[in-house]
Amino acid sequence: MDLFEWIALILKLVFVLAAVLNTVPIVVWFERRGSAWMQGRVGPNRVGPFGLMQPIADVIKFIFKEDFVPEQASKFFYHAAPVLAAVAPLAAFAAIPFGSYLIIGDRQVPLQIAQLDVGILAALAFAGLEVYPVMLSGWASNNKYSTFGALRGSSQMVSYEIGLGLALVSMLMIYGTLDLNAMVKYQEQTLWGFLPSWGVFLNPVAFVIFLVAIFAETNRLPFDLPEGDAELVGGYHTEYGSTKFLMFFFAEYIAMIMASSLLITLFFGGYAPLPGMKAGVDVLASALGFGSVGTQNLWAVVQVLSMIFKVGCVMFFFVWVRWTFPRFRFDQLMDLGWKILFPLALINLLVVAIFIAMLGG
Amino acid sequence: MGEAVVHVLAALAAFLGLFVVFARNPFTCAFALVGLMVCLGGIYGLIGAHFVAALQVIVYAGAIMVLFVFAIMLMNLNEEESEYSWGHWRTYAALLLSAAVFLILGSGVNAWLSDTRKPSSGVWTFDHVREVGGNVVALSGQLFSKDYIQFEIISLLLLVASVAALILAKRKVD
Repeated sequence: MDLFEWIALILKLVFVLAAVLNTVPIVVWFERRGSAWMQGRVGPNRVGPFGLMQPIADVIKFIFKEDFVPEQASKFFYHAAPVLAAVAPLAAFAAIPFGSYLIIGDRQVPLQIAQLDVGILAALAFAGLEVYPVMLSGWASNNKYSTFGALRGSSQMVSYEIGLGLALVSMLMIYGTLDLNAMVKYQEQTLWGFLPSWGVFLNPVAFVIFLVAIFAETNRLPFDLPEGDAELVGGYHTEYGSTKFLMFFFAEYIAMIMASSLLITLFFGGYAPLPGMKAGVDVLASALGFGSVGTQNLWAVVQVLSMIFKVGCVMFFFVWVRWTFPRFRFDQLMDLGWKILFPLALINLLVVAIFIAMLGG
Repeated sequence: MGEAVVHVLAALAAFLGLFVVFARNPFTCAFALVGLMVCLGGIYGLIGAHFVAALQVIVYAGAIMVLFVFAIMLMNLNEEESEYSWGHWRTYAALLLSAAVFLILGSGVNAWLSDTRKPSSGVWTFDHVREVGGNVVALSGQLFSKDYIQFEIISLLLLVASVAALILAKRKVD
């Protein structure tokens, strides 16, 4: 690696980190205003225009709260849990592409932090570590409610990982690759001349299973039993206050953004802009008098913006579902995971395999 | 750069391995083992075996150790701490056995290191992997052509093992 690649790598890291961390306050604001809108309330509207400064006020409040540690807590694990909660989903972003490539000078800069041929597995490996902060915080806090939350959380995450994995296998069979960039390339083709060949059109059953599973993996309503405030006070983070709770809070939204990025990369064409935008970009580039290099750079910027737009749509869906569905009971949750999603994913896998064999791969 | 990070990760893995053996709290042991698995995954990734690295983290750190930690949380093994004594014959047997395993593994690694640093023929050479376009392609080529019978036999064996575990765990077979 020479100096140019190092600088490009560091800039990409900074860009992804900044983009993800700055999306969190916007989503939190939208969650509070959106929930109010869906329930016919007003919501926070005092701090700044439309209450947009509310997340900043929230963060300041968290920072100035008392930073306590429970008497009987296991100190090291108690403090390690919130850090791990934020680090695991952030690390998964390294494998997710957010654009094709920029041309700077005469060199191509791929818009992805780590170009791995096992991209999807690397992202899943880091996402799979998200279960540890839940267990750690629940055990280390030495609190009954925390332990209950941790047990619920870990069993739920492990159960839904099976359906998620099998849905993923059926998509891998269609794409024939583990490389997320190659998956996006595949989805840039068209079906029957008009429909983009997105995963959601090729394999809608896998999409539904994956969608349900990521709700369970990120502990969002209707599957937020690990935190179920009506039964468990706050679940695994009952004993956390101040900035440590803030870390958990951030981690939940980071995990949501990561899951949404994976979802759109697998099923909605990733960073590929909506069909027809290619022509628009070409017209714009020729109007501005760009050469081929300028056109490619403009195109890459449009791709990054479409990625952000698509993630935003999925985040809207997350908020929408949260304020629409009530919480499941725990046995219902387990039944859904093991008795419905797991067999459904297996049957879907078989059907996809038969289709691929009939169409000749 | 990459080699230095490999050494740091190896040292960290060895340090965590000591924790696994000597920590008093079973929860600490389990988490040290998780850290060890992640370190090993990092080493595999840095020497170019991305597929093995991802599997190491997914299977060992992400699945097997979750079940370990889950069992430890449920069973509350804290009483074990006080009862453990170094004088038992099992301790010496375990020490002897681990020394033997260490010698065998060490002599293997030593032979490999003194021979040559990389395999020179076959499908697993760096040149061949680069030529076919990555670890995954090289591995799946082997797995689904030359070795597919072994692959299927192993999957059948795992299925039988899981059914057997289920039967053994069930008190009463109905």
